[in-house]
Amino acid sequence: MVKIIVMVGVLSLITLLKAESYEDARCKCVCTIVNGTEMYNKLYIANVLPSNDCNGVSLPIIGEVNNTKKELCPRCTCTYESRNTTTMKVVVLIVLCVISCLVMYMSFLLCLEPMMRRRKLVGAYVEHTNEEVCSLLEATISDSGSFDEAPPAVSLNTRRGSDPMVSIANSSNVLNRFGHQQDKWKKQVKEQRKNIYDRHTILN
Amino acid sequence: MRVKKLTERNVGISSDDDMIDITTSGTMTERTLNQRSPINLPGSGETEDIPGIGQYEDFHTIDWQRDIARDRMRHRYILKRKQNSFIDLIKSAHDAWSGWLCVLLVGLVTGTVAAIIDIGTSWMSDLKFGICPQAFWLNMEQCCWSSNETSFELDKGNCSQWFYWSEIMTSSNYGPFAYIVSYLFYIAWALLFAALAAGLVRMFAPYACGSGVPEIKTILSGFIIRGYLGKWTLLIKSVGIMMCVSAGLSLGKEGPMVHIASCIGNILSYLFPKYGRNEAKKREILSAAAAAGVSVAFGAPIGGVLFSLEEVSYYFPLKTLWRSFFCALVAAFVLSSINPFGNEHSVMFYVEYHRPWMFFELIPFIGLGIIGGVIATVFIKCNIKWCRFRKTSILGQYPVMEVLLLTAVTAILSYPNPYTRMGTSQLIYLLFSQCDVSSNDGLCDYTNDKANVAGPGVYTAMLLLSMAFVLKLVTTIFTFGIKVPCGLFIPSLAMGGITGRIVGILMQQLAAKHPHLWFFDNSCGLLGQEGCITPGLYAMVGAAAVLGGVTRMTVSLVVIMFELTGGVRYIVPLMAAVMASKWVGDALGKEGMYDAHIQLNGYPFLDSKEDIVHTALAADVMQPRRAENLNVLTQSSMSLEDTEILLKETEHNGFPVVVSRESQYLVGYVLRRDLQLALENAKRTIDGLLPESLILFTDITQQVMPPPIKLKKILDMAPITITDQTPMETVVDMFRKLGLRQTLVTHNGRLLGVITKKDILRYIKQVDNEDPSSVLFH
Repeated sequence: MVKIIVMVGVLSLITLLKAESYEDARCKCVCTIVNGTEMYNKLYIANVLPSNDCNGVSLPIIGEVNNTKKELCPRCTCTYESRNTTTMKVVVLIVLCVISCLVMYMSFLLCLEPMMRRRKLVGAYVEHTNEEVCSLLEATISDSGSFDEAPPAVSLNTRRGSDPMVSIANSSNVLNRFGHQQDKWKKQVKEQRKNIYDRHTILN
Repeated sequence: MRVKKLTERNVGISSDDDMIDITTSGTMTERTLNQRSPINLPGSGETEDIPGIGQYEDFHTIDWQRDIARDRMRHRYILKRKQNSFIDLIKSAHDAWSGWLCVLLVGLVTGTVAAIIDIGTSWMSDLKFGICPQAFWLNMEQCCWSSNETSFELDKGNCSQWFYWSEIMTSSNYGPFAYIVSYLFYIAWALLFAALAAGLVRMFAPYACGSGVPEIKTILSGFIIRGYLGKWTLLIKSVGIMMCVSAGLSLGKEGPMVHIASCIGNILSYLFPKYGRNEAKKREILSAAAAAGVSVAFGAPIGGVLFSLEEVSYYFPLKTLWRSFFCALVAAFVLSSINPFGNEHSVMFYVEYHRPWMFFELIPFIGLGIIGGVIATVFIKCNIKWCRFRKTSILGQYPVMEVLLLTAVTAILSYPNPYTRMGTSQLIYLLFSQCDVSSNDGLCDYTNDKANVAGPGVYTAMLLLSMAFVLKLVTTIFTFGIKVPCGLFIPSLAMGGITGRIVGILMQQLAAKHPHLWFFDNSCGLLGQEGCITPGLYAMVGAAAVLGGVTRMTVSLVVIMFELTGGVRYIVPLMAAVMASKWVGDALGKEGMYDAHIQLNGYPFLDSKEDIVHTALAADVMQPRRAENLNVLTQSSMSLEDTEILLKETEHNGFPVVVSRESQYLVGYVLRRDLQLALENAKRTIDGLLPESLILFTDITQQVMPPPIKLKKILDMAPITITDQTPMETVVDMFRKLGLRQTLVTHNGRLLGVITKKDILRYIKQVDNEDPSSVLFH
């Protein structure tokens, strides 16, 4: 499932990258215009090629003096500015992808999973006993990962290999392990939730 | 004395290598450590005898001494093997540079994540107002960036490419109906973002809420909060902070950035076992990461390093200083090369000043400092009261509802006032910047061409700004502490900026009306000269004053502020204001916001800033009060059963080992966790173990039946001991400077009791006339 999402994301990224982009360089000119007795300022923006010194920028300054159209003589100071719209596009798309993934996962955990769990309850018996046997050792191993949630995959592997009860269920090993990790993570989040929302011990 | 060798927080005289040179003199500790070397060599490639030894449990304090000694052992082992083969040589080289490599990676990742957060935040904030249909990924400013229709600098979103929601819905941008539509869209987006953030935090990573700085401070002082710096916290905090800022709540992303950077530091430290497996060493990386966090938050690398040194770090040797410097540099470089705001700077509110200031102006600057201190005190007091109320009352049971309610109220009240409607960073930029030819805001409505006599627009703007100030103050008091990621730098800066700008405009008007007053020293009112008072500078000084009062930072804050403005000229005004604000703050309330939150939560944080003046002795504080109740292990006479009963009946985190109960002569100290793990391990590996099997902490050669459990290797044979007549000042100093977890109290060489960090914290609370039972953690 994750792979499909990533694929879709990458594909949409590529198509969007090909879309026409906004200019990435400009000259921003602040001009002081003297119109008779009046003096006012105006901001002009000219799109230029990258790495420009803004010297050859032509400004369309047209003022009306005594009802006759005539070019005024403005005093302008121009500065060259650049940006990168591609970065912005990529970043915003990544952010959108991440948020939608999280929201989907959240709704999955909230709605679908309780139903699936109820259906699976009978088959989970064998694995459950197994879990209890090595729970203490498991705890110590995962603790060596310190702050991090997941235990180091290697140590888990070696221990699992030596455990006869698991090697029976070798066929669905990967799925099991994933589910196992997920369960452990969920337990940790539940603990965090209890600390913060119920007991109010930290992060008040 | 070991006390001398190991450095305290900021006396960075010793790097690790120095320590090794000094300590090879063969003190008691070293010999012991050499003896127990087999289990303490994570870098040796062999698996450790017992998994999990040397780690700590959740919500426990680490033992700096033990961890540093472990690292020294490991280092010496690698050095010894260096000559053996080419591979070992490479291994030792890798070991030597892994610290630098790790902080390099932390810097790179932090810079990238910060850029993503910056871009995402500005895009989502503008989503409240409208959209750029041709390129939806551009925000308001970038959408009109290359359009020629904008005529003023801050007049964003006024081009044909950008569509306000009212334009899309009602096809007109003016009139009451369009206003109502925009208003409703603003509130709806704000609620959506806030609901998402609160939901994600609650669902995936509750630890991602809050600012994180008090917790990082506690963690760096040697505390374990498992999962607080994990992957999910990083992800949810990054996403959550974008949405919270976009929701228009009165909070900032700068404090959480420190937490995010620390998460990155923690995750990447696992690539290097030297740091990942040693909590004390890991904190060196975390200090550097915290520096990188501030560096990217304000585009101020040096300010970041000083922030780490002054505010968050506890143990800060010189080596960590250099690494922090490097890490902050890399992070700032990555961020500014990504150029997230399209303004060639890494913060939104970068401003540049050139005008000089007059000597006389120091008086209003100090005045601003005093005002800032008062505002900060009010803010801290009210916020702590509210947080305590949230903690103890029914309100704490509805965290998501609280966030939604607060967002709705903030959005409804913010929209009518243009200064609160815009993002807070943008408001700060507006307050800091000078009026020049291309600005058309009401704040720059000056009637003469010298731009120093205020027109009606300026007075309206001042009125609106005062209202904005009240709103910001009130909402921030309620906001800081809700269960979404939230920082307080930006709201504090905004409050101070508003105050400063108003004072600045008043000063400017005074100078404009009476340019020949003696204190203006003839520098105002000369012909052809521009106005002599810069309101933007006052805004900056005011902002620094409030932030200084709230956080009680001094050096780092001044450096951050002058890195923001790119002018060294304003250091003295900033220093004066920050100092005044700190004095006023210290006089009115005891502690800064972060320390107040540490107190509120009862974290085991030994503040190295405070002095203790009390004449207690170690014997008065140690546990147990009566020597008979002391739970000890004996070195060679206890059976497995006895030990298990002791473990079951007591909850102590460690046990002293004595020669015999009668003599009570001290042998060493063993941690409960290590003992439990070792017993579990022994039960699995040793055949024929009976409940009567002896537990031996001594060297033994002859065979006995049933087979004994040899636990000499988990015994710390060099625990720090003091006598019962040691004054408590000395004891507290030892705990602070050495980072002890416990110390043993002896009398005539016989063990009397134990003093743990928890006892110390309780003692300090007692001295301060506070409730000692609020110390919850070990």
